[in-house]
Amino acid sequence: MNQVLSFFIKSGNKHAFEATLAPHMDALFKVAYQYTGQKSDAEDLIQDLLIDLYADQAKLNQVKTLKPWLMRCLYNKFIDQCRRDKKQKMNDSLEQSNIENLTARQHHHDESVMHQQVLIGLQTLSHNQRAIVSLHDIEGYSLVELSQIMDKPVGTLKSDLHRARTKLKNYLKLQPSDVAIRQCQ
Amino acid sequence: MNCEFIEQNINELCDQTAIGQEISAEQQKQALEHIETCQHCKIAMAEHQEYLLTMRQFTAPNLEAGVSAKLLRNAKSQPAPQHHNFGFMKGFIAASVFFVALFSAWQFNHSDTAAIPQLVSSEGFSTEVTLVIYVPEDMPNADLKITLPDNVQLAGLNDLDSFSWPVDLKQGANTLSLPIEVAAGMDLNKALSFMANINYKNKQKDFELKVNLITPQVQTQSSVNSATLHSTTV
Ligand SMILES: [Zn+2]
Repeated sequence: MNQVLSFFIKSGNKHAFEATLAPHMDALFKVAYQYTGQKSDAEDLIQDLLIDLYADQAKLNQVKTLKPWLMRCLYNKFIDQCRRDKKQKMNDSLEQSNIENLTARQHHHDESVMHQQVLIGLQTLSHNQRAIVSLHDIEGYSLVELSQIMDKPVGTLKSDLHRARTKLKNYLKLQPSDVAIRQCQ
Repeated sequence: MNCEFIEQNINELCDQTAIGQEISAEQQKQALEHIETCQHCKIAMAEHQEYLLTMRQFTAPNLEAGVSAKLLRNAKSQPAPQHHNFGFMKGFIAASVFFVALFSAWQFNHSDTAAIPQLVSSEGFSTEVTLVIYVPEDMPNADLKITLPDNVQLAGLNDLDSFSWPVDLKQGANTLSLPIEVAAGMDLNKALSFMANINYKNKQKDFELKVNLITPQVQTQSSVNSATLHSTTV
């Protein structure tokens, strides 16, 4: 009942939704971009997330520290979408083919080779590993904060991070020219 | 101090907050001394530092002008989604859902009292599973969707691997019996994984319900025609 009540109170302010979320849009987009590896996919992910948030504004308005909570919602949305995509594209399950799709679609000539390498490297990780590396190594969240966002024990995250870093370091050791050649195909 | 320790603890060695916590100051000192004298670890350490720097310097692009406002505006004009997963709805439905399986009849085994343990079913069989869902409040007109595991079909509905229907869930335990057909070649030692999804007032919750099939031998030992098992979900 409280939720219903607060919904009506808040809905009195037509622009409350925008006002609440606008300050966090850039941060959400950056992480979504790291998750998906594509500007357009990142926008789609954010759009889906916003639709969910708008449908349950009562919940949104109850949250005290918004940013970590939004990161948690984004992570859940991402994992949710990955599961759905996986079901849809069972025949497209080879990791390698996904990477090639990504490189083929991407022509960020304005971005540095290193930028592209990191982006493609992230795609070689599992969804879970990608989220950990993205939030911890790029965004600077601590493991304790991550355990809130990803709902996993710190110990598990720590060993996942170790594995993810090892894999990514190996990937990044590839010569930049290697990526450049594949991008031109 | 050895190379293995360095490799295992390279994250901690590069993280000032870990010193004195995960590894002692003494271990750090010894590790640094080792790295000074070991070419392999020196390179590993340099690569790790470079990795950390590369990641810290990675900058994702900003949202293009106007896109933020567009996305926010679009969200308000969309109808409430039918199929989404509110991860943050955790706790909306009680975390504990029990799946109780009643194996009332193992038709292929029924006539044989001296059952030989059979780990893989050599032929298909029918049985019934009873699903028990605990919810914290009455949920009239909720949508319940069940996705069947591979090699399992609902008796009489052979072409469906998932189905949904409106249910009135009452506070507490709600039971639902499903007559199922298990295909031949099923590994009976493996847990069957049913996916259940409850949609109530546009709030969704997914559950994985694991059911352990029991072997005919275990069934015999339980002395009655039906054995009851339950397993908690994740
Ligand atoms: Zn060494």
